[in-house]
Amino acid sequence: MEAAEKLRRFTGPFALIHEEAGPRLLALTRLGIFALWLVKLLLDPVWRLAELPPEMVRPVGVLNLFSPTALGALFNELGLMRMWDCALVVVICCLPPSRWLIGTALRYTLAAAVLTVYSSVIRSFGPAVHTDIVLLLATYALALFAWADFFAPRAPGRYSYPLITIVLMLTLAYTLVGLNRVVTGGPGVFAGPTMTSWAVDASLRGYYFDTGIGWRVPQWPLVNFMLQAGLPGITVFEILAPLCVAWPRFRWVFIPVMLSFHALSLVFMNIFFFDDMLLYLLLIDWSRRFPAMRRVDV
Amino acid sequence: MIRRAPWWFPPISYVGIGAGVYLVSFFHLPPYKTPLLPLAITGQLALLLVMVRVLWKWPPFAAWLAAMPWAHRLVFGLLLAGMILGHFTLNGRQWFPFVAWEIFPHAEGNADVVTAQQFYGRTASGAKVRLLVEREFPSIIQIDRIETLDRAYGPGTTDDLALALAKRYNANHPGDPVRAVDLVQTSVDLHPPAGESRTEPSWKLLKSYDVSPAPSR
Repeated sequence: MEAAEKLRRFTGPFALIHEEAGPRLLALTRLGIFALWLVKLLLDPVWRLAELPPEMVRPVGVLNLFSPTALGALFNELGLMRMWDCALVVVICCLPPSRWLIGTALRYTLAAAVLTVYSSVIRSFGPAVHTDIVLLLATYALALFAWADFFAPRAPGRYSYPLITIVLMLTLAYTLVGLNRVVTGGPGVFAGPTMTSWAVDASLRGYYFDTGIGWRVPQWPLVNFMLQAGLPGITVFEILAPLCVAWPRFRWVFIPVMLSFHALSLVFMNIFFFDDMLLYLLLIDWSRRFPAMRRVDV
Repeated sequence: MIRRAPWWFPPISYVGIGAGVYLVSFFHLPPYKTPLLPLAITGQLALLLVMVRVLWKWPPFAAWLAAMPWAHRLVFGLLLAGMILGHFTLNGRQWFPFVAWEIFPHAEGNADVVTAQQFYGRTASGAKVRLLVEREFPSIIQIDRIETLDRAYGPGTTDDLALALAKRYNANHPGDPVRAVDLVQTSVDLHPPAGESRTEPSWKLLKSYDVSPAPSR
């Protein structure tokens, strides 16, 4: 009994995140997600892709449904600029809230469609990398739940549905990455110099961020040890990420640990998932802290 | 009185099955990359089911799900099932954004040296600048490794990319344009002698491209 009591005191309470979310929190989330897309679009001169060798184009996802003529019309400077214009206008239209369910559902669906094309285009010159995929899935959630609201416009928990789903998708992505590494990679991932090798390789290749630090890791035994020892721990946190949905104390450990991990990935591997960092804001149960974010019947 | 574990706690058998599949998947298969794909998939699925079950049977979550109207439940199920199914297609491209969540999954074996090809530009003022596709074309999050381009996209792709990079760099830096592009192979020893402190990786010139403008007549 005493052990159980100690365990209970250690774990603290369990509570479903965003269970009490109200319309304000959902509206802020919608605004945040589309504002993030807006910033991404404004920083992205996507039309420059037309200057890359055309033989490098390998359509991704929905682009496989396009005819060769349509792909030709898309992958040139004018086509890419039109797509960017279109995405920008649609995303801007999604920023203000709407009183009408149909208006919300239509705008978000259009945004989901255009952003799917945009996200596929920018991945058509290499691997279908995972950056901003959760953000795109979150856009899908906002659009599809807006349609679902038609069928139950007065469901008491309707504000929490998209929020909890987004948190689950964010954490499920981590879980799948962690499980995949454990099961596919096996003990060698954690036992050998694999982490060092990844850091050096990513640093030599360089991405948008090119810190030029990671390739020096083998020269720094302490840093090398820290990275190698940290990988199993991070993988455990990745696998356990869905606990964030239910366990507030775990979230307060998870958030700083994973933020540090992403910061170190930037420093040593030039990899940065800044969209996911912003989605971490949804790992805070705002409605329990601020009554204004709660639904009225709670 | 015997106290039972909470009914939503996963049966220990799941953990046993997961551990069993994990062990069978690769313990006898050096160098760690398992060729037994079905077992790798089953292992992931078993571990994932343990987690899903924990959440599913947790009373507050179960109550939340039960209170959800059917349309919302359909959306919830579609999105999460899409993610899981997409992961198990093991395909990152076809079903985007329902992709396989594979980020650094494999052990790197016993390689002692890591190599990578890079582009460098030599500018009119003599400066050496790194030419990164992801920086000159920031839409692109990551391209394939430079050393694989000709094999993946056809001969000459690396050359075309070098020229495209120089052109874009010069458009961004008209004051000090690139006059030549070098394709180099860099390498780093994973086990350097103790106390070694290099300022840059070892590198070998593979190819040079002249991108000077043709003299006007």
